[in-house]
Amino acid sequence: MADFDLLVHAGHQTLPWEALLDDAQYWLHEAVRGYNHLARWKYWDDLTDLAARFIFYYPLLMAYVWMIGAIIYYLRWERRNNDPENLPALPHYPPVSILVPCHNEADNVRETVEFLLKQKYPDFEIIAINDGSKDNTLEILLELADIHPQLRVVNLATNQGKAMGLRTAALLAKNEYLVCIDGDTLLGLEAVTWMVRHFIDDPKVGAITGNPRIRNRSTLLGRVQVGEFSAIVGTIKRAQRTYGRVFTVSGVIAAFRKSALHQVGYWSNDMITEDIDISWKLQLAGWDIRFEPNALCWVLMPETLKGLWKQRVRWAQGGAEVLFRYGRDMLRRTSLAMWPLYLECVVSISWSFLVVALMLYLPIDLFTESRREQLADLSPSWTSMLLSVTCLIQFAVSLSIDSHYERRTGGMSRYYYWMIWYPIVYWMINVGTTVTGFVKAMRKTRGTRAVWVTHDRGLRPKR
Amino acid sequence: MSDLIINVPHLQTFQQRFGAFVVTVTCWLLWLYFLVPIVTLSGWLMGLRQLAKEIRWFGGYKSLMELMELYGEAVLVIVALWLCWTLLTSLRRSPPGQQPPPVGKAELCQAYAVAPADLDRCQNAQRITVHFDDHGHIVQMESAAAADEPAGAAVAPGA
Repeated sequence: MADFDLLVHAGHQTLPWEALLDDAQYWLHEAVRGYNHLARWKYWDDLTDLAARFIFYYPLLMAYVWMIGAIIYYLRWERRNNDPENLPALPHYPPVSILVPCHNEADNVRETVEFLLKQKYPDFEIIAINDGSKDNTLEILLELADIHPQLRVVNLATNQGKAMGLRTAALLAKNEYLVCIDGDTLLGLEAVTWMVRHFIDDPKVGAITGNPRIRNRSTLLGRVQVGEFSAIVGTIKRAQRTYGRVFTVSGVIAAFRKSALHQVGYWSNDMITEDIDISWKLQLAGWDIRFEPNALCWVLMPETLKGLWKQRVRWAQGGAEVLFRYGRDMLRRTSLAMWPLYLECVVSISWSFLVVALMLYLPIDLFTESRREQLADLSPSWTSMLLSVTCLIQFAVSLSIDSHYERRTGGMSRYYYWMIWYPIVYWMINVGTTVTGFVKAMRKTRGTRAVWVTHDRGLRPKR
Repeated sequence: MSDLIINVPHLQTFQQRFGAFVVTVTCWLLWLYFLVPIVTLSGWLMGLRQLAKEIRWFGGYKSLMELMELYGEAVLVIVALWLCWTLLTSLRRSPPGQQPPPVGKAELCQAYAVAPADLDRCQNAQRITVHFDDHGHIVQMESAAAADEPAGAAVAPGA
């Protein structure tokens, strides 16, 4: 038994440094011993070589898969339609309900609603849902409702979570088409028209996801996320749309056909990310999801590491929960089209676990005979050069595709400078959040109600 | 109405700004480190023969060519697969059918276990308060058309 355990068993509250050091030495020794034992296994070298190749080549392969898919999307659908202000003429303008779930949004909701009222669409109502806020969100909403008859206020007497808020608003909405945004989101003035056209064009369309843009760009994290939403999120959405299935709609901006929601039983109130869940439910039921890059919305994102970590763990947990819940559905022949999405998600999670394993393995490996070889591996090589070049190409391609939507806000090119941070440090954060989120999803008791999570919303001047 | 973009770096402390600068410069240096082979290769191809030793250290020109061939083939396969898939989905695309009928009030009432009269009233109200039980089922909906009108209340049939 290690010293640490002995001390704990002996009832010690604090541990002396010597004991901790001894303990660390003991575990390191054990790890090296275990490693040496494993290394004697005849397939060990093949296995580690395979794992290392997978860790290295998988992001490279996927970078090309996303990039080429996004370019095809651009050439096929986006090239002639990349000016949000150049609104498409619709054969008719069906009435739309805009749903805004709010929980403690006193700082933001006035701006959100006032922005919505300027929407360039002839017929819409706004339904703001106050979900048991502890601040004065309700008072602000009621005050706004007195002035603007288009605004309806649904007050949930007790806090129920975002999914329940949306479910209730869907019940009370007068219209078939629902546009859902968050309480701190500014919806682009042309967004509703761009989204509704998909419902009119194709009756199989059950939902449309919009194009979120980051508002807060004061810090390094904010600026990296601007690039991330273009180079990673935007590219993946475009490629998935080219494929025909989308992993998730954006919770901050999505439009739904109420009859489609009704068929699948609306949003689940026990999934931590209701947007990923509803996307899978709709597509498994045979509905299409479209991506509309002209449907812009301006969102606030975390600008602290803690805030970013919490948000990304939540997203990762949501993805893992979906894998667990719909794993059995994947066995149905009708789910065939969802298999690549499912597989990609499983492989990405496995990749993250392998990266963690590698990070644990590397220090141990440095204590072994191959130490010099390991150090040599860290020197630049043709492969690392191609990986770096691929990354730079992906950023360049995706930022240039996406720059059309930042014309009014100063363009995207300057974010190329900040993007450099992304693959080096940001991937490591994503690896950590993926593993943590997966473990949390595994440990979660099925049926536990999801609750609101208020995240850090970045630096803002005081009003 | 505020501007869309919030860019207030001056709200950060000096340490935060300096930290961001250091991290970014470090990352750029790391990138440049990884890109050393491309610079060396360019120099070698332009006639700087003294870089031959470095080229050998990176794995040699021949191995680069082999790698490039492999990469090229992989990218071509990905492009071909994407194009085939795009063509296939275009050919399989069926003409749009009829729009599905909108959800009726009766269906909504059944799904949410609320009375039709209550739903009617609340769908036309401007202010609604909804009460739930512990399982998230609606037990009561109170409504008012405007601030000065008296509120109507109803208990859901399932409550």
